[in-house]
Amino acid sequence: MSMKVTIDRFEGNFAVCEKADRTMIDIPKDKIPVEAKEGDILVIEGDSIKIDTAGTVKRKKSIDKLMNDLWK
Amino acid sequence: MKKLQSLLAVLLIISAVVFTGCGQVNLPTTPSQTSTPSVTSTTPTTPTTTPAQSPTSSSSQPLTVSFLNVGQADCTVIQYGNSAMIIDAGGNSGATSLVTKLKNMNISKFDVVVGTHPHEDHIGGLDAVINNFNIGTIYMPKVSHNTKTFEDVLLAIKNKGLTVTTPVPGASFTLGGDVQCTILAPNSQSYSELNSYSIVLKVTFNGKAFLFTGDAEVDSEREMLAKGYDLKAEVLKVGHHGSTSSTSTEFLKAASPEYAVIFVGVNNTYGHPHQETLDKLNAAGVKIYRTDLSGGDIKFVVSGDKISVSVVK
Repeated sequence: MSMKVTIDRFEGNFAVCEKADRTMIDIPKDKIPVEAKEGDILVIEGDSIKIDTAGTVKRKKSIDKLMNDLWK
Repeated sequence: MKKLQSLLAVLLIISAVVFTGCGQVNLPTTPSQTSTPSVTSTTPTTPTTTPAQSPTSSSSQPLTVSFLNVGQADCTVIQYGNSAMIIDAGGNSGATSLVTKLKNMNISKFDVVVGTHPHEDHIGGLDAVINNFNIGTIYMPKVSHNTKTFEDVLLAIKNKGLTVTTPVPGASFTLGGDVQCTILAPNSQSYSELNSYSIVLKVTFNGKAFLFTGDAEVDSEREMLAKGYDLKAEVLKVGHHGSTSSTSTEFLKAASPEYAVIFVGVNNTYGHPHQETLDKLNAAGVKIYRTDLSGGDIKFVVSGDKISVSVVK
């Protein structure tokens, strides 16, 4: 059973992550890949947490597209 | 000839609309801006109100600034007469109760909405605010984030036919004609972390100033100092929940506030506010108000040249 979360921000020793239902969870920084950044999508499977690189890129493209028409 | 007359009439009407359609909120203009933002109304639902009559040197109406207790998150509401501004809107989990609280404050319209930066503890309730109130000008830094929380805000803006105004440092606008608001940050196009994109806003009324810093970190503070902005303020919203990542000694000295407000959740996991920040504020003799210890909202009122603070439970 895997779960995907998005890193919203880092606070101290935690990555504050958004779950699919928009609730937030704190994941200790030492449990996630060191290269993980704000906005990265993480795939959690048991004890393993990996970055979903392709999913993150796709997501950023979609958000950027939505933003383009809104800013003046 | 008749054709020419009617054409002139049409032109006159158009220019009248353009020059008067701005309402209360003056869009930012700076000398460096080559293209000024359009002044056409983006909210058909927002009624145009007439500016406050005869602005005198000291307004008789009070200004209220409410730092709402939204846990480990930020939300400030500024009210002046019938005008209102909101700076950040708490986190996702508090959105419904925030909307109820704002309605109980007799607010139906926000002339200005500021989303300081796209973190959930600042914009979590912003979609609900946009969906439930009439909205004027929205300021947010043009930086993207991959969360559903951020997407929800974008969709709320899009679905209401609104647009977002990019903050330009040095630009000013007024709230209700008398409350001067100046944007002081962000001063760079890109930063390594979202916190530093935070919009920093100085709000001045009857000679009393409030400095709203979002989560702006030391790098942004240094830029504001280097730009020579007047950072002096009676009330400082302490950056980033009192974390050591903000409130550098130099920045605090430049602001030299009488009061400091820290948005912070009871027993939060992150150790906010950090002791080092509290020590700095205490050493400077600043009166500290914290949302975790207040047990309510922290409300400042500027009336004449007096400033008072109380806790609303």
